[in-house]
Amino acid sequence: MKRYLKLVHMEVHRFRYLMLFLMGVILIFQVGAIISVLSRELSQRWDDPTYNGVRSPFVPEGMLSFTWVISNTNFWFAVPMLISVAVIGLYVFFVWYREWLGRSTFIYRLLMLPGARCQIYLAKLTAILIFVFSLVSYQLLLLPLQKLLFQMMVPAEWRVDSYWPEVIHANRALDLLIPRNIEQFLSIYGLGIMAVLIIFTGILLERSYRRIGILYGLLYVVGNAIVALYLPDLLGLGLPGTYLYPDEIVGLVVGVCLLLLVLSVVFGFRLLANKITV
Amino acid sequence: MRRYWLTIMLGLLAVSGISTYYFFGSKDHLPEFKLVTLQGEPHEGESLTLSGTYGGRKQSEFLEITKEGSRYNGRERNLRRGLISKVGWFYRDGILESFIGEHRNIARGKNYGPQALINEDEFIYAKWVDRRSASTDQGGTLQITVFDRGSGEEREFEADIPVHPGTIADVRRLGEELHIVMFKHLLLDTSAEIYDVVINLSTEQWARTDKLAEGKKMSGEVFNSNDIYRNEAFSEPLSEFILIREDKQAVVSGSIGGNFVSRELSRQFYAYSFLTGEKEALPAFYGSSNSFVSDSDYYMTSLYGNLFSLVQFNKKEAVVSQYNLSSKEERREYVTLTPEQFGASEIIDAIIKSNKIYLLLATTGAPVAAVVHLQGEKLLYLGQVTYETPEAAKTEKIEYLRLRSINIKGIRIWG
Amino acid sequence: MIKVENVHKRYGLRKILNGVSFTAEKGQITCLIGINGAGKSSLLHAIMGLTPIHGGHIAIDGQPLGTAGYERIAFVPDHLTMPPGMRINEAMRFMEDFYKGWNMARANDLLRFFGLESTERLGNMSKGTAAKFSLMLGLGQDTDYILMDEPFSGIDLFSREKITEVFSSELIEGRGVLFTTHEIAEMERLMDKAVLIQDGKIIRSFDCEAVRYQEGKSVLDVMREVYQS
Repeated sequence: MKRYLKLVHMEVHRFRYLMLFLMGVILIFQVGAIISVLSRELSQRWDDPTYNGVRSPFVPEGMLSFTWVISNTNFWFAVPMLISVAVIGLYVFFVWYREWLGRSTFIYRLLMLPGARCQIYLAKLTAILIFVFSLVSYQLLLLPLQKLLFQMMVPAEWRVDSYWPEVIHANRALDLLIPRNIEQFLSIYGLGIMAVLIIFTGILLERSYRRIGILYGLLYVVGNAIVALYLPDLLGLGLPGTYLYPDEIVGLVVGVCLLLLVLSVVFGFRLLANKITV
Repeated sequence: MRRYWLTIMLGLLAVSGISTYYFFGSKDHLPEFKLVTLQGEPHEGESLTLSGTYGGRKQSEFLEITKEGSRYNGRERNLRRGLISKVGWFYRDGILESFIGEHRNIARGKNYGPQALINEDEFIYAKWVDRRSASTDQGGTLQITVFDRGSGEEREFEADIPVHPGTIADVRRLGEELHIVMFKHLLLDTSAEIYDVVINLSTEQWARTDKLAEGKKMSGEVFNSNDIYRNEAFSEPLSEFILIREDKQAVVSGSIGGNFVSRELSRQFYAYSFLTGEKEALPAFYGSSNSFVSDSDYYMTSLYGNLFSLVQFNKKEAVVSQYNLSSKEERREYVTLTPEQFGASEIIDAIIKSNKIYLLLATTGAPVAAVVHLQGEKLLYLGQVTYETPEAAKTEKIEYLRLRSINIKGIRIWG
Repeated sequence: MIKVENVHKRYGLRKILNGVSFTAEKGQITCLIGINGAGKSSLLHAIMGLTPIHGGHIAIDGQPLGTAGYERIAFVPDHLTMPPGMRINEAMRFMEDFYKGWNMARANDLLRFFGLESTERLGNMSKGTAAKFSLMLGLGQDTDYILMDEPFSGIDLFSREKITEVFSSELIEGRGVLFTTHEIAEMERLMDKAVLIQDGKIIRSFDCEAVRYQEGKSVLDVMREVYQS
């Protein structure tokens, strides 16, 4: 357990500058956008006495809400999120491939560490999860700070309050990142974890069999994706007269996805223990 | 331990931010509503569902209100529900859904409404198990399941049909005869033929096939299309009649044989009697649906037993007409209902079911729902939407609630 | 003893190791000799579990390598195996974190002996410095065996002398050493056993002292005989 945690820390440590960069990008883009939108609106109010202010449905005329600010910064919230998704998406591959790259092949050292090699797999997975969820949490924690900024910039007599779900729902990017109910959160991110595990095992297939391994890895990833995506249709969901009921189909789909997840992990462990080559 | 501060911090951040939001911060503070009885029989309001949106937020929230309370779609939207709801359109109404809930194994593979007959006494389901379409053998085999709800006995048999007429569209029983109405689409540019395949439930054999409507070749700009008008729901007394609808349509864009868009020029209903085999046209008035519809005028229809009802409504009035398919008695525009009769200012929506009319009405305050029996025009129920908790009235406004439609058991009955 | 028995390995259709069998005793210095592409590195990788084999057995003191085996056997590859952004002191702390048998005091002695700077980044090292650092990592572990792949490859004379010193020091005493090199002449006097490999097969395995005494031949002489015949 200790070795595993140390490996996790090592992986986190290696990503630290990228993490800082992403957090910085998110902060700068979003705070900058909020300041820009508010400044424009407020300066109109100060400069033009006849200006009545923005009209938001269900908000008293002339009043500003934090929800309105967030809904008018869709693009500037989406851009850093897309950058983060792209960076972490690429890192899912890079976290493995960099061990073989360049003059210093760290994979030698990793494979020669005492203890089960599955800890390497689990440490990389854990690190990816930490990156993803800490960025999501970071975004959630930024929102109250951004609201504080809004309150500092906008005089109290021009402000109305907003609820957090409304604020998040007002921004398409936030709404995707932070679903409204916990079940949807677990579904979306659960599928994401499954995708990471399948990709990890695909990479290990490629690293174990090299040239032919590229084909194996691609087939493995594509095969799993097809099963996961088309299984509901294959089981007849949405077709009249199907033998299985929808809740049974959904249960089966969840079961199969969990099975694929477990098989990917077990297969990955075995590749790492017995087939991987430097 | 100090060395690991970054990992510990990120790990704590990952867990704390998300869990704090979902446990404490995700309450949307949307007001909860319910439908309360003002007048009449409370049980008449039990199956009502009022749908619309609630404003008061940056984006309006879709919701449904019933006697039990309110349900916001946005709160419950997730992958699982999205997948499960794909089959909602099969059921026609909550009766089949509730039967499936009680008799899961009996109803397994038998969930498509048009192929089912269900009432208090029995559940009958018809499906093709073998459709042979080679040029010399155009027959097929129907599997019929008959489940007696009282005794719990189930029997299943197969009947060979010499010529398979197509897709099952309706099932009804008259005595020992099971009438299975089917559509046969021959070609893309020909309207469907409609058949009645009769199975004798005692002998478990095919008895005969009657043709109810001809397929007509479509060409040019104007063409005919056939359809049937089903009984509104399973549990109502089934009629000896089936309504056949023949529409005349005009091509608006595209061309027949490929993708095209059309508009209705005219509609004619015919009542076909399963007992006598006779087909009679209904008065043209009941098919002139085009004339009922404008930006502000709407209509709804319903077949309840032998009674075909039509309501034309707008904000100011709802006018009901009825035609008895058996006695040929017509009561044209015999009931006119106005919102003022219910203490309301306008009619938002209306549907007909079970020989009753259900109205959703706007007032200066909260919306109301009314149920009126079409025989005798008696007010059966009047209900109003209220907040679940009085405190909500302090921070929310009932004017933000914009209800748009009234439904029975969540399934829309289309005209 | 490291026992390699009938080991086969291939890359695709190409046979790299073709029924290789030999032993390397504890307390002895065994040298694997062969021309480029003979399969020496592949054999070391196979012993260390860094690449799978397709037949045969490899045992360390009668047991397969296993997950605990890396506390008993160390490997010094011919290139760096730590992230280039790491500093020497960070790498040493890494070894301390993961290896129970890591001897930090000895490692620091070796650091001083090789004249390495603890704050130097691995990515900035010259080949000679990298070789010394890799050897320090290997010798800093209390293991029964140490494998080295071309420890002298491409390094300057002075670094080579330093490394050669280590071979005859107490740091090696009592351990089983298996290494590969092309610098036969220099290392001949240190080897106890030589194993000649060609095209993935062992062609001759002999005790160096015995051959010198009985046949009056050096390892190089034997090499020439074998490879030129």
